[in-house]
Amino acid sequence: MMSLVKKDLALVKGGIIWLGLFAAVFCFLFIDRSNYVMCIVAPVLFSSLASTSFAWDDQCQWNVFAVSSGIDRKEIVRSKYVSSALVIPIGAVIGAVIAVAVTFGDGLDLASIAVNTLTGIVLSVVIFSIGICVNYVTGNSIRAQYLSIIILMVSVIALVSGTVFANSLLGGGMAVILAFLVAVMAVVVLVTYRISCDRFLKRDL
Amino acid sequence: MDNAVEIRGLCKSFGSFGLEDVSLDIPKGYVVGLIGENGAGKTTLIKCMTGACSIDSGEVSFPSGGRPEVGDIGIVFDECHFFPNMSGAQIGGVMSGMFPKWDQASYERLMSGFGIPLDKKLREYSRGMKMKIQVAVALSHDPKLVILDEATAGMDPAARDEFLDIVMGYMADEEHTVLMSSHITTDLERVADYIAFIHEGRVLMYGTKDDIMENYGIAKGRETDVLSIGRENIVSIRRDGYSVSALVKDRKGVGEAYPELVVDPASLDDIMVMIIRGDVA
Repeated sequence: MMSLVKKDLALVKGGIIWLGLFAAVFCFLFIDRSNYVMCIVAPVLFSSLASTSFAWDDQCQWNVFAVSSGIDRKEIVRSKYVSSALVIPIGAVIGAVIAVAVTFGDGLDLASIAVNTLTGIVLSVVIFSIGICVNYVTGNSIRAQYLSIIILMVSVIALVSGTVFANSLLGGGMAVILAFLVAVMAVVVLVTYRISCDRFLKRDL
Repeated sequence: MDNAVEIRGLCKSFGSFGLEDVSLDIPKGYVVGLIGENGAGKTTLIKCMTGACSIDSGEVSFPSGGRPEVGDIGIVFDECHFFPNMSGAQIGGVMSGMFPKWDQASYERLMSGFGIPLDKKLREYSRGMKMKIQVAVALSHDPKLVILDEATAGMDPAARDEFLDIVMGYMADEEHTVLMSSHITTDLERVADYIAFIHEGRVLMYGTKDDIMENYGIAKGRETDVLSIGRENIVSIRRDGYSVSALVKDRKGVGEAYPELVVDPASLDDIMVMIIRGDVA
């Protein structure tokens, strides 16, 4: 599986560099510095790289070769989750570094940066998991990109609403919110992984 | 005889087209040629064998009992499925992690023999070079079965000759098996031990190349004379203007029984044309 992960990372290497630059500039210039939202936005931007590796696989029909050579289809699906997860910390570090840079000496709140970074990571995992699942359900990376935008907007709204609701139900505190988000993330990853495997196992390549 | 693959009653439907009741043995240590026109089902059959496509019914069996292990099958497609922005070295790196028996030295030796620099990106390769890197990959993880799906299509004669030499070199060890699909029948006449002819999703003919070349013939004459051979001896009939040709299974027998007919030996090309363009009996 690690060779498949390395393959995906090699394919998105250029995207990582450009997205990193974009995220750095975008977060530095446009994001509100008072609430550390850049710690969430930066990793979320990196969650889009999952669709890049799918686009490459589709273009080259890589899966025909991989499956014909005996690679297990579930291993291919797992490798997508792992490679997508591995790029998220890059975005998280960029967001956190920018947050520290813009607030250093002016009320630096490391705890808030850490919490927001964790929130960004959790949100990114949810987003790329849904993106991966949409790719396997549609079987077409281009169609998946359009659908993903809609599904992800709905998901984020649902997630934010759910968080607010959970917060009101369970009492305040970032720990509760984070726990809720991590639970949702775990469920989303498991459900999307099951659906992805189910769809990909049945697909004629 | 040991078989590298056994296919029994394989059926796969794609709407109006499908494979119907395909049964085939790929004997271990031999080259099996799979011929048929475009759209006959050669690639579909290969994909069903390797698991890239599911099958509706039937069975594909390997000596291991289950699915083949990773690396047991080496495969070369007519289209290269490697990434254009990767170099030969990067592709070798990916493959080394995928295949347990990957031999990096063998890969580099093959690439060097093909004259392909390892630092060159795939998008700069010619079509022939893309086929060669696929061959280098396919032969560098010690597969038991190599499948070549229209691998020589688009190659110039010199490149095809070099490619076939490599195939024969690989076959020197009798532990290796090759399934080669092609509609360049001269390639198969050169290297194949067995020939399977697939037409409209069905295997119409399967046997040793020597038997097929020895026994099949084309009987020519007047329509009444040709039809008198009997349907049981005729594989297909083709009518051209004033004359009729029939592809027969027993060239010598028909020639002796019907001396008024001209019965010529049939090449694989002739057989293919007669079946595709004639009326199959």
